[in-house]
Amino acid sequence: MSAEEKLPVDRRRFLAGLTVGAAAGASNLVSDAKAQAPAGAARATSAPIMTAAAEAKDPEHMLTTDLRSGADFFTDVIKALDIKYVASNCASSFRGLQESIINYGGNTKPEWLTCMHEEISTAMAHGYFKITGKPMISMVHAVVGIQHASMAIYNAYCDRAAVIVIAGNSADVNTRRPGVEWRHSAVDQGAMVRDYTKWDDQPVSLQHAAESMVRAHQIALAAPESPVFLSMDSDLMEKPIEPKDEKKLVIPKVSMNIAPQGDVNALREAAKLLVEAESPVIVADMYARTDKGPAMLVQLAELLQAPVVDLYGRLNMPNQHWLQQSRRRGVLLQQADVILALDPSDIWALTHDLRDQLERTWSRKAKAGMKMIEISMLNFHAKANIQDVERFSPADLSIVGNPEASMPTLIDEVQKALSNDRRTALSARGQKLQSSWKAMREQSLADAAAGWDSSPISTARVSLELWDLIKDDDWGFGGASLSGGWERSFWNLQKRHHFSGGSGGSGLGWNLPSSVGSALANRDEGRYTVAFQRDGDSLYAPASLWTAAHHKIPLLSVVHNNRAWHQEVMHLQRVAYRHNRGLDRYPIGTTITDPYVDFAKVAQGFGVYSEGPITDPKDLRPALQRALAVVKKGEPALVDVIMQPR
Amino acid sequence: MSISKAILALAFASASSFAFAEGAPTGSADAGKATFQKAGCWTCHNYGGTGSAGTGPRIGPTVLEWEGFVHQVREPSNQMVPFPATILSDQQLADIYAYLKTQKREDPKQIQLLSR
Repeated sequence: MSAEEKLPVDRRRFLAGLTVGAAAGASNLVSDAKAQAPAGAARATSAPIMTAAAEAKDPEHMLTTDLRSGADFFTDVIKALDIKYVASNCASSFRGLQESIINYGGNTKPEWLTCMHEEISTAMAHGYFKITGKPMISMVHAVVGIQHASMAIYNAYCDRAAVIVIAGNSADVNTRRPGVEWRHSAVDQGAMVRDYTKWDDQPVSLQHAAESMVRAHQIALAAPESPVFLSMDSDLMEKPIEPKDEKKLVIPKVSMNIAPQGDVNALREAAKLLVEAESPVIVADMYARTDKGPAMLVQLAELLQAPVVDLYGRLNMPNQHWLQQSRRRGVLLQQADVILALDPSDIWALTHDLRDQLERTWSRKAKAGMKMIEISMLNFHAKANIQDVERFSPADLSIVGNPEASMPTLIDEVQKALSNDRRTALSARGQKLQSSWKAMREQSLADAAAGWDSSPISTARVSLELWDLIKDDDWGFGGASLSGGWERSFWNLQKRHHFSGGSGGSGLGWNLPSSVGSALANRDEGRYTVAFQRDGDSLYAPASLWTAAHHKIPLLSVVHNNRAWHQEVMHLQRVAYRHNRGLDRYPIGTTITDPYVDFAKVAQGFGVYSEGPITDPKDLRPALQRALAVVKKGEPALVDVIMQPR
Repeated sequence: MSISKAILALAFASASSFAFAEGAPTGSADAGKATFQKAGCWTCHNYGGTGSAGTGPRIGPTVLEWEGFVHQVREPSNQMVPFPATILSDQQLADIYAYLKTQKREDPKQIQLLSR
């Protein structure tokens, strides 16, 4: 049997149709062109000139095929990368890929997650990465979808989060539908987000697409992790693959990055400085990338009997360890003679204060002679336009490397440098730090007691009532801290699913969809998730709740409802008073009143169980219990609590 | 009290207790509560002056003497917004001071969730 005889019926018809149609079209075009060729034209064109008559002809064409599509091949590439989810708001520019994932791919690995906005799908991918360390795909519409996703991409970039954003596009003008498809096509879509993606590409063939997807995956996960972007042509995805071409396609081997460790000699020098220091302080920001990170930091801190200041870009140090002394950050950094900074996002702020008064002034707070050691990937993160590199502040010993990957060597070098006498001396320092920990704990209790029975309800009470209800369960935490950071004082944070840092870029609209993404990751591990949502932030992408309901994602959202974008209240007040403008107008444009937003009703509208608004602290615990019962059954719930502003 | 002493008092305000100075003007706690709200003191210090990490320390009840209290409000030594007399009169300040003095300090040992 010949190769052609093996083809299915539709395929034979498809090929035959193409041949007939193309031949007929070419014949007509040529004859029309000859008829209209100007007299005396001595040289023939290499292709026929288009005419109105030729355009009016409709060549014979096929309507269906059983051949695999380009998108089918690309779905196989996604499967090879073991990517579990594609979050997306549906759009025509990637319809071929969507159809392939749900039909050809069986809608599993990846599974399609239905979202109502590209900012939601991308922030979900961000939250998912924070818990799993694996990228999710956010698929977005050409041009307009990219702009919707842009804010969430920026947050992921600043937070060093691996997210793969794929946008549809209609590259070929010859097949582009008239009208809106032109407005939803671009020649360089990557340019729209290039300032805050690490890499982008626009493949022009299927093999190119496969290589770029595997490359995108590898680059996104290489520290410092970052979003990447692919623009995928709709024709490339929708067209069938010719059998002769199918045989040439290969999926590149997927190989994972080995994290770069800092230079061994430099780490030895760092160990020497730390061992000899009288008041060393370890500062960790974006340090921990896996659950091994906190355990290694504990080992280093105990060896050195050195306090750790966790800046909570990630969960770097278990919060109940007595060397975790973040609440003493100010005094510790002022007294330090050596600071070890692990992936700090703002090293200048560790040693300086800036006073935001009419005249902004800054001052150095670190003591003279203090030595700064930095182990960081920051210099690989910097881009020209975005200023998230923060103010330049050179370290005395700057070690380029992944700090978590560098930790085993650093620990080993510290052990080698520690004499028995030095260990004895450090033990005495440790006893003082244990006393400081106890005092810090007493102060936290006193602070938490303030306004315990007040209405609006104190943030401390909300945090502690919730903790009391979940502490014996397998729980996860989504999004950023509640104001006051009480979970850092009183909860038991051990692993990254207990806390994974904030948005990175501080762009509002992140917390709710990101916590839905984190809750999805936690659901896959058999645990439910709790999160504190801010009222102003939640109003950017409230439809995230619908996705949580639709996909049965167990997430308890407790809304910190202070009926304002409260940070802006304080900013406007600051400037108004600075200019002697009076007391009464700062709420204009900064508060969410008249009418109040009823978040419980908003949640109900999206199919989510809800309680609230809760104003009396006595009503809080029963409401949380009822909502948690729903969450433990595998569904989302929301409790709206009228809280103190901070 | 000298300015340096006032600053010293502020620096240790959260950890120590100070007797209120003689000579503080008479203020109305009720009027002070209203002014505390209108002037937006609550935005950083919470309602009742219960305080919050990162925005404003606990000031209800205040541990500052009158002179130190006035100094901190008029010429704050940190990130606090300054409130000149054109914005907040001395009488209004005295009312707020009286209001803050009426606030109670809770004992965490009497709160079940904090005493475990």
